[in-house]
Amino acid sequence: MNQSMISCVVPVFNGERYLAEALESIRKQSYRPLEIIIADDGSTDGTRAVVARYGTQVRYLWQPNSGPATARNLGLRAALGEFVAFLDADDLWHPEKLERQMARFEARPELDVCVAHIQNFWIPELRDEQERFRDHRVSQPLPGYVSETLLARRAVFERVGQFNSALAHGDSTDWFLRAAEYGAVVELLPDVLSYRRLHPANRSRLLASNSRDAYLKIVKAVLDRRRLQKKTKLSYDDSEQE
Amino acid sequence: MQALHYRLRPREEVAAKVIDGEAIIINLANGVYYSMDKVGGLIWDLLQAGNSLEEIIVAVTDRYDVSREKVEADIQELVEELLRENLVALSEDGAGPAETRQIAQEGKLLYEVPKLNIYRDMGDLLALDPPVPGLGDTAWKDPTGGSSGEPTA
Repeated sequence: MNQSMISCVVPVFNGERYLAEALESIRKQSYRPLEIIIADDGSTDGTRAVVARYGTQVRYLWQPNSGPATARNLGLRAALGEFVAFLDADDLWHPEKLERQMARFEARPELDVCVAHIQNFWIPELRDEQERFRDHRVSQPLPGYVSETLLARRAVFERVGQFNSALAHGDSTDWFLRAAEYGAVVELLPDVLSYRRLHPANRSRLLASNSRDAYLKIVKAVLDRRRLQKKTKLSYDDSEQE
Repeated sequence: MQALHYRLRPREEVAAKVIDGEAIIINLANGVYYSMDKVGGLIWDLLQAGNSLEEIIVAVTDRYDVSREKVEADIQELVEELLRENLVALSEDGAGPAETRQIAQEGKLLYEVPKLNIYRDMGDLLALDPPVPGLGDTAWKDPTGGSSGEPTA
């Protein structure tokens, strides 16, 4: 059977410490064919040297530092696969992630997007924090409406658009909200297929209070768009009656 | 029925901001989000600034063409709903607002009953990605000795 190719996009900024682990978790995928695209967001550490070890097994793209959304879009534009998946350079995939998700696309030809659950894990140095949050929901598998679990038909991005590069945080939430507005068919798998590493340099920590603001603005934009749609629809219905 | 000298504080897991006169509120614990515009937006703005219920009632009555009795009843009802949704906690003490807002007003605005709009449709989408209180705001001691945590307000 002719299998569809999946482009795996890895946005990275100064990710030398964990990048090789992320790439290995892609190489260990049970699904083939796939291509690995590294979108370097202007790293100044040894990221390039890590990438060089993989030779022609990966495609390497570089841009001046402009944020993760822009880096994901850079990889997306270069993608050749019929499907696209994303993995942050400090996170990991379950070895059967892509295979299990592709099985859903085979079973449901109308499916546009497949996501799965995600499990946070702490680096050993943060054992105290892990202990503090042991009974908190962040220690449980969470429904992963984030890029790390996303597998989508590349064509979906033509309808929904790319990630919003104006957002320093919450760009994947914004994308999923837009996908829902465009009526994309989304399935959430109960399986944990992605693992998010919690470490002191997590972007969401550094931007903690900024990201709260970003989320509020994203929600405001969703409400404004919904009201505009309703208004447009109402005036359209009015003109029909004339 | 709440005593009018009470103040309401947004709970720790609640993120909220008044944008263009509309209060946008997210309960980060469950991803449910809310909006209140017009009179509701003003009320949220005032309660977030630390005003007591009495102070809020006075401010709304000053600004809108409405009786005090009506505002008081509507605010009591709204407060019960905010408490039911776990968005705010009552506190009896605490400092008042940093400054009393003087609203320059010629003529009064048309009053509408403040309404809390509730959206439960995007829960999963919003519950995961926003930083978790306590996790995101941890004061970090990184190996270099610097602190990369956000200063707490």
